[in-house]
Amino acid sequence: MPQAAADLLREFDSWVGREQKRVYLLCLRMLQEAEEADMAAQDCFLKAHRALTAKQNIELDDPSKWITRIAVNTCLDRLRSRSWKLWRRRPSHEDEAVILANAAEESPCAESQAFAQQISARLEAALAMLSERQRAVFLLRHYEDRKLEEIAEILDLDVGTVKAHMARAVAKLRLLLRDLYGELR
Amino acid sequence: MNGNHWTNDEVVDHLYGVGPEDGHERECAECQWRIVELQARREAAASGDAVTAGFLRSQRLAIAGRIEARRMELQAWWRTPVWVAVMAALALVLSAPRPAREATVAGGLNLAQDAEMYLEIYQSISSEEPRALAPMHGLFEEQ
Ligand SMILES: [Zn+2]
Repeated sequence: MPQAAADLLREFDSWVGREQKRVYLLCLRMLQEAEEADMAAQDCFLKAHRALTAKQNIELDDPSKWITRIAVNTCLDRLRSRSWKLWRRRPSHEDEAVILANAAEESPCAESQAFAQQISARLEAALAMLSERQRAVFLLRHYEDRKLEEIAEILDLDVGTVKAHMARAVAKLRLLLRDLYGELR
Repeated sequence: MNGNHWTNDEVVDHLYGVGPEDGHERECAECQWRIVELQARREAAASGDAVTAGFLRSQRLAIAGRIEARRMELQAWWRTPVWVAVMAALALVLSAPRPAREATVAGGLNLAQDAEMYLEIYQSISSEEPRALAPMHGLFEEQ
């Protein structure tokens, strides 16, 4: 739904309230550090406010997609600026094997909410195995159910590249995903 | 499972937009149902994250505080007379005709060189003998 920047600025506080949790969780899953995700989420809304103040006469096609794009770029910038740290934290091939082995370890009842939370926590930990772009692509689909075309637009990539990132991400998380989705009939 | 149906991995791939592109999901009710079931499971797992209302409230306050701080900062900058002095200095620097000044310096050098040359010409004309001979006199002058 297109919205004028001036209108969005007028109801900025309630818009923040509507988008805040989603933006924060996206930052948290991208950055995997609560404090940094908090700062990143704040930065996103500050950037949005600055842009809206500067260009009040523009129309935004989809404010939700726009703030998502700001969030992903903010996180990618932060990840790039601490790449040495990320490199240190990214699991080695041996660590990846351990994560995957743990993922395959048990197959509890898929119906239980505790299982969903447990698998979700493991999935979030396993996101560290993905490259920054693979992670962004995967998160936008898994948690926000966005179409690949939308993800391409948000990340400023072509759909083919998004597909390639997604295929690699799904392949890396295969065992976890099998656990998450359990046995199908 | 029937060989014609998608495998479990293929259904999962489809859920992430990278499944087979054979159109099977449009024709097969059973696979359609499997997709719906997986989607529900994914939603259940993805919604399990707990973010407290208190945390979100304090984050909103922090955002509002930072926006207000920036607004005050901008206002203070425009209110202070310092910016007038800075702008005036900047205007002076920008309006100074730098290439013209270089030309003046270069012109000055040329003038000095010209004067020296004219003096030499004048001296050589007013002298009764060629300048090249002048040092020779020194040799025969009595001390
Ligand atoms: Zn089928």
